[in-house]
Amino acid sequence: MYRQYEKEQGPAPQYQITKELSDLTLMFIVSAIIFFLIAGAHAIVMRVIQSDITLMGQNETLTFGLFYAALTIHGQVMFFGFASMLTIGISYYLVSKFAKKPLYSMKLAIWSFATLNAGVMLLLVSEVMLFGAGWYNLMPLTFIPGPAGAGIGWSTLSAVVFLMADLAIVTGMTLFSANIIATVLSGRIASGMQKIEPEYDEGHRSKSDGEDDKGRADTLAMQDIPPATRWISILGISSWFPGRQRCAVPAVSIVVVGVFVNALVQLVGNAGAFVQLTVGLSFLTNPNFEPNWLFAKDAWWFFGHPVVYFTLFSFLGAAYYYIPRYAKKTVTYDKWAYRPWPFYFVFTMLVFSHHTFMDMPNPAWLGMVAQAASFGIVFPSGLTIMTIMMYILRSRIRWNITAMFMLAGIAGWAFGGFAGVQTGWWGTNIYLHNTLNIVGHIHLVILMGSALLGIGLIYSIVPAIAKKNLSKTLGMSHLILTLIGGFGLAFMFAYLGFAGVIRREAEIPQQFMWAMPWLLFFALTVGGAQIIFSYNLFRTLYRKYLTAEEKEFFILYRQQEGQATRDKVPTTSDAPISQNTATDTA
Amino acid sequence: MLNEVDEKLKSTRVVSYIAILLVVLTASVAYSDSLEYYSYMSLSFHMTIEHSIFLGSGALLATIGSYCLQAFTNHFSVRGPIQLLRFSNLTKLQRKETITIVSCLVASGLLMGVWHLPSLFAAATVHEDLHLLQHTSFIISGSLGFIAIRMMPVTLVILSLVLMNATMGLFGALLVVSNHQIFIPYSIEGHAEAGNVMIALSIVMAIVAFPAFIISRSLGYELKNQQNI
Repeated sequence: MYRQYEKEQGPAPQYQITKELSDLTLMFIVSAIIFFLIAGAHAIVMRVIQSDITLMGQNETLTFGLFYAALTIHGQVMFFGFASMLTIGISYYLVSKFAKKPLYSMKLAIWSFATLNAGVMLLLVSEVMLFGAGWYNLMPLTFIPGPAGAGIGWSTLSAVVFLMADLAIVTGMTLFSANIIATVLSGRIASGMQKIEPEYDEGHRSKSDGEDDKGRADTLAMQDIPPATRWISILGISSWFPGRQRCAVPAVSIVVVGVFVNALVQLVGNAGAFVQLTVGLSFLTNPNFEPNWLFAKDAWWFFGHPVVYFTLFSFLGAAYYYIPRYAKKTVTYDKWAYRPWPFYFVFTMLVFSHHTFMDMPNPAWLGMVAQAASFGIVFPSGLTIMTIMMYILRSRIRWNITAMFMLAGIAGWAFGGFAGVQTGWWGTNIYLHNTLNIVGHIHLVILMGSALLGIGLIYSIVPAIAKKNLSKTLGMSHLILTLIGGFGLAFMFAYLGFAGVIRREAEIPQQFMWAMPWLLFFALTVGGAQIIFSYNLFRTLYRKYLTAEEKEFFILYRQQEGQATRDKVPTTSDAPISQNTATDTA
Repeated sequence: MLNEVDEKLKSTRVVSYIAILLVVLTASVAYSDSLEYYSYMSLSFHMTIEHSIFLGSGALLATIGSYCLQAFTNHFSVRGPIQLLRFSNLTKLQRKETITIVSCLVASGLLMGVWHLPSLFAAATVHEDLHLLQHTSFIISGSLGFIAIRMMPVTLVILSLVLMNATMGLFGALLVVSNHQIFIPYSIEGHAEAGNVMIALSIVMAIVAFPAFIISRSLGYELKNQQNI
């Protein structure tokens, strides 16, 4: 049963997280999925408006206001309601599991959940008021109502609601970052991975039964690491040291490194969002205030680019652990797994200004730095992809749902990354910046990249917490439909962008109308897949019986804790969610 | 034996630190007219060199003050940094110290920030007494900041370094793209130049100074002390 469990759900350390944290993780996941469906519905609305389907008869242009509102809320809710929500929930779980310690503050974690949800709900309120300035909140458009009679336009109140929503969201993300940083920096932490670094020619070995795997977080000792040494360990800097020095620095789990770098980069990036919101709110409250909108835009992207990576880094950190385990390899200290992280840390903060190539008043050298950083970030990204490919090479990988989703996520991120480098090149950006190619890029990176990685982890983490398995058949349907719809949608956008179709426009030129039914089809396919996934998830969480396999597992699990009572088969009241202590086995 | 070496090393570091700061301060006084001129002419000079001089002077005064205090009080004990990250677990005394740290940081930030409000900054450049008060505030700000840093756990000092660096870069961006004079004595070009210098400085600090600091501290001090290396 152990093997069966690991085969399907995967290997998490046995360290017991608190019941509060496991409940909170589930709440984050459930919220994320609900907002995923809502944001997806907005995508369908946009596809319908841009297709040949007539909603308003002769007054079709009246739907354009709805298009821009949906455009705005689709982006924001996908980023913050779904991807960031999922990232935060899973990051809390991962950091507690792999650092083998409780979170610094559960109260902060709950507040981050509350503020993030409040913010996303306010976003939906602003949408009802037809706020449609774009997900990037491009000021001063935020404060300029559209032309009368065109079906476009929003009130100042809706702009205020939108700004307050973003304020709540960024506050929630800041609380999360502070909580993770405090958890990792304070007190003792599971470390000592460097002791199991293989010899140069040893490489990764296939494991026979998992028992020899010394890289499990469970085998790491809790240590109090000195401050600067802790920093070079959790940023992955020590992996670049020569062997003797590298062995001296206690290394934490690679998963902790991923989550920590994520939180730190976002904490820095959040300053940009706060600045932009301050500029916007100052403009609203003081009519004499003369804002610098270019600065507001720069500040937004100082936040807006890291937030893309925010949805990725924690999951990439997890991939470094989960994929070799599925590939039946021993998880040793792999310096190549740690080496990209200092570069991720630096380049993620520098690369933001490639979003403002078109804003000529910015100094030229800032664009040059952005271009260099856009190319520079290829190095750690390539290193990550190559390392993960090496884990799979000649392995006997278990192709379970999580493994397939994670590898599809890596592929989507790689394709999206290529497109990103292309548009992060100053010369190319001039041609592609305002086209649907950018939309293709972001759908590859987020929908087919981080979202797939995160969903893969849901298939592993939810059964680990709830002690109930998700349906494998539904999972496979989910995977196949998501891949068809997602890649179809993203590549179609990318192609249309190359053909010159402008983005952020409700009206599509007649010669490209042929593509609209295809886009609608792909969007509906992705949407249908997520409905299957939601059904699978909620049915698993709320079903009141356990399968024979789950009962067997439950008994084994209780035995392991020394509490097993074979004569008492768990009833619904023992149901994992209410009773669980959230341990995993492997 | 190891302790003696460690103590000697500490003393050497303190003496050299004070000596360097004294040299900088003396040079500043000696060339005060030139410094004043450059400060008036260049915003980037004000944002980098002038700030460093005054904040450094404040830190120097705080250091000298603390050693004077040690010389005059027999029971002066040097405690390790308190664990700010676990406020609820702290004793009453430690909580007091935490409040001191936070107060010092807030006061330091306010003293520095308030003089950079555009109207007050402009007033200070044309009014000599205000100008003097501004510089005195910077020195006090340096002292308070230094006291807080010495009391804080090193982990948090490193984190503050990262966050302050990002703040400097962001403020630099404001100056770079500024389309009107935020600080009245200086031209638009002066603002752009100052912004460029601040952003460049923050990038250099993020890429060079920050890793150099944590690596040298870890390999050269912490791991040696733990005899791991």
